[in-house]
Amino acid sequence: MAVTQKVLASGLDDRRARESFGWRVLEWLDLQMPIVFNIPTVVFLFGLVAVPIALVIATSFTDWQLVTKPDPDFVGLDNYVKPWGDERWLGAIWHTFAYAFASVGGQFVLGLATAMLFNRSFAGKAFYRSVWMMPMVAMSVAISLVWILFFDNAFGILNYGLQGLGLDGIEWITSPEWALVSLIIVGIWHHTPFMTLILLAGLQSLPQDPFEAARIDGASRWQMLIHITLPLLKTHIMVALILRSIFGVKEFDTILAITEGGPRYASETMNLNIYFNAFEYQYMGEAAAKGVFFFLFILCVQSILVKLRKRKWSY
Amino acid sequence: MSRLRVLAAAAVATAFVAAPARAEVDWRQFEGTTLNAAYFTANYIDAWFRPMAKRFEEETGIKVQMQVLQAGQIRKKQDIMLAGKDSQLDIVMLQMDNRGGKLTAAGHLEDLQPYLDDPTLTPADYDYPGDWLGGCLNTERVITGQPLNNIVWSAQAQLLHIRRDLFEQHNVKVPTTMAELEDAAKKLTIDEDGDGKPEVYGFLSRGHGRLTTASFATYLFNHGGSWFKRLDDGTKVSNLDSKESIDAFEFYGRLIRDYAPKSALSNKPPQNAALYAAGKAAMLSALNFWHGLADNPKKSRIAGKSTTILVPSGPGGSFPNVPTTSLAISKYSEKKKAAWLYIAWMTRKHIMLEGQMAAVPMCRRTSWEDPTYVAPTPAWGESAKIAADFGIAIAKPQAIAIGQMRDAAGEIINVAIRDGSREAIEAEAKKQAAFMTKLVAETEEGMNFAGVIPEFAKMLDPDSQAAPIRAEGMDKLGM
Repeated sequence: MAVTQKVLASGLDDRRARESFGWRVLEWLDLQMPIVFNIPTVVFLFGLVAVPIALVIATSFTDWQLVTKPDPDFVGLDNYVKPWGDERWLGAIWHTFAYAFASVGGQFVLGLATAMLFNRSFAGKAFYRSVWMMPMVAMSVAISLVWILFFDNAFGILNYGLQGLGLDGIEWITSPEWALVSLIIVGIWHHTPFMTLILLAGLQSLPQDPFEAARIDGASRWQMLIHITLPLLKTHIMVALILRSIFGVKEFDTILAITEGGPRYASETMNLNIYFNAFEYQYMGEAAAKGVFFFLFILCVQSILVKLRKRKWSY
Repeated sequence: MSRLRVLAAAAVATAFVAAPARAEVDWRQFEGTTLNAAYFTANYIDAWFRPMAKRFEEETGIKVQMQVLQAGQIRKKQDIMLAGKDSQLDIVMLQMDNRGGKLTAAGHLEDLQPYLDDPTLTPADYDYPGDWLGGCLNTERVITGQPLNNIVWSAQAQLLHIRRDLFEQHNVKVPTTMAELEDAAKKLTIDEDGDGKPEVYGFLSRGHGRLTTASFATYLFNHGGSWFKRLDDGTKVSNLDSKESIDAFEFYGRLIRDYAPKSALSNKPPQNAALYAAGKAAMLSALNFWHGLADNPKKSRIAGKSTTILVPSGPGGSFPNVPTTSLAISKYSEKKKAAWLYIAWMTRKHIMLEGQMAAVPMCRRTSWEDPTYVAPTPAWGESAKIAADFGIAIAKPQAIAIGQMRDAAGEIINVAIRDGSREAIEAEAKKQAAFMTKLVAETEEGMNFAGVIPEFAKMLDPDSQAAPIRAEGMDKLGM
């Protein structure tokens, strides 16, 4: 019951009550309630999102260095121009794309395959499904430490397996050629269950009529997959791809824990580069400018994927 | 006696009687204060710092709240707090050869000389710098004209851990030169079943990126190389593309490539120490405190079989690498006097002796010479003492932009280990040296950043080089 209604219900004379100052205050508060209730959220978002973003943008126009230049000078667009002549930063952009594309691509293919598998009935399905989902709930740093052991050149299980097959061992995380590939493997292992989960939910919500009709018409499984399952699953696929692409571009903890962006910066992604600039080299201004670029980059990736999701597909 | 003489004698006697004796330190003068300290994770935290903090609180009434994080993390936290002029940070643990120059240049550390000179804050028997070992004092100042802004207390050294039993079993000469080191590494890379995978690798050292500089430094300087050099006009430039430096890269790369497990390229110091303790390597180039792990029967398969010697001398001589650790006070602390009292108390003779007893190599000479002190092994004691006395802090390319300098050096080491050809190392060294020189010009303009001061270094004579080996009774091996 609104406050004003409560006042009326208390038996006060209606006209007197409506003319009193207290009444007008209560009436004003009644009207403002939606705003009042939203104030904490707005303050929270403003303080924790808008203010830091504004500070980062402001910092990006300065030459602030954490320890050696605590009183920064305005340097205009220098920090936005300088990185484009830096091979390491250009490499980091390429590694970010390569990691996100290959990792999410692998997750999608495997995730779709396992979702279709778990959409069928077989003995022990619940158990296998639980086991399959386990990497998703494991902590990134913990799994990174385990994968470092797997990747060990001399004593790791992967090279042990390869050598058992008569092949040469691979310098997984210690060679520039294989470091990014190794991280993609970890990314696929770690995040495929998430893809499976979303696609499985999608598969279970699909209507069965089109499949029955296709079966009667003699369609093959492959034809049903291409012409019925994937089109009907489009919304779920796009949601999964949008989420995983954003997380793939942002991947940080496993890369830092496994390769630290090395060797020779061969697995350094944009956010690792920004981290090293900010906290190892302490060039806060340059790191902030790269951070702004990274933010815009993620925004672009997200926008493209959202547009794709909204697009009217014709089959 | 003339009247004048009587008067003079009376005046002297009066002055003598009236003069106050050197004031005593009232250790409880800041009772009830709480200090915040930011420390690295290391073996000495539990072995020495924590028990001493309890005793310090009992004796002074000052509580020390220690935040202990991995070195990389705590350095970032310290930097952020100091840059933010945060008064909550009182005590700063740091290595002067790492961020010391940067923090000094920025003026973030308090000048300790006034506190040292104050008899109400520093005990009369403190004996600084008289009782400090030469190698430790070498590391305290990195910028010309720098005030005393840290007290160096720990003299960890990069030494060569060796498996005594394997050297004896195979009668291999314990190395005193780089050529002997390679020979020993070759002989002690043992592949008993001939499957191409040695059961024991001859040599193990860091091969992982920026961290490698700490282990590589002695090999660099002993080959006659250095991180930087000064041109005739005084300009500081990188010296990593000199012939001597490239010799060192080539040698170190070959040792890791040919005689270490391939995992050395990704291993950090704890993994290398664990491999050594598991009996997988005959020699480990690492800090001397890792002896504690190798000698722990609960965690090691080689307990009682390992000792340490000095890293062998090279064509350029022998320069033990002592990455010391210091305590300093934040310029922005509001409890500076209490913080100094803590530093002065922790570095008193009998307190540092307790650290020494707990196998933490200390910077006080008296800690090493105390008759009650027994080193973990004779060679450990001898090598650690010589390093602390004669060493220099060469573990990192000292510069304001130290993070990038370490990465640049790490790049060359990576090429030296993975490729190893002289041409490839030269090309990479040239590229990285140019980058380092440019960075120095950009970041150290108008600053006399001395970094490692080579004049401080006293090259070891062959007799001192061999002293630890003699102390362990291994000098006749390989004859």
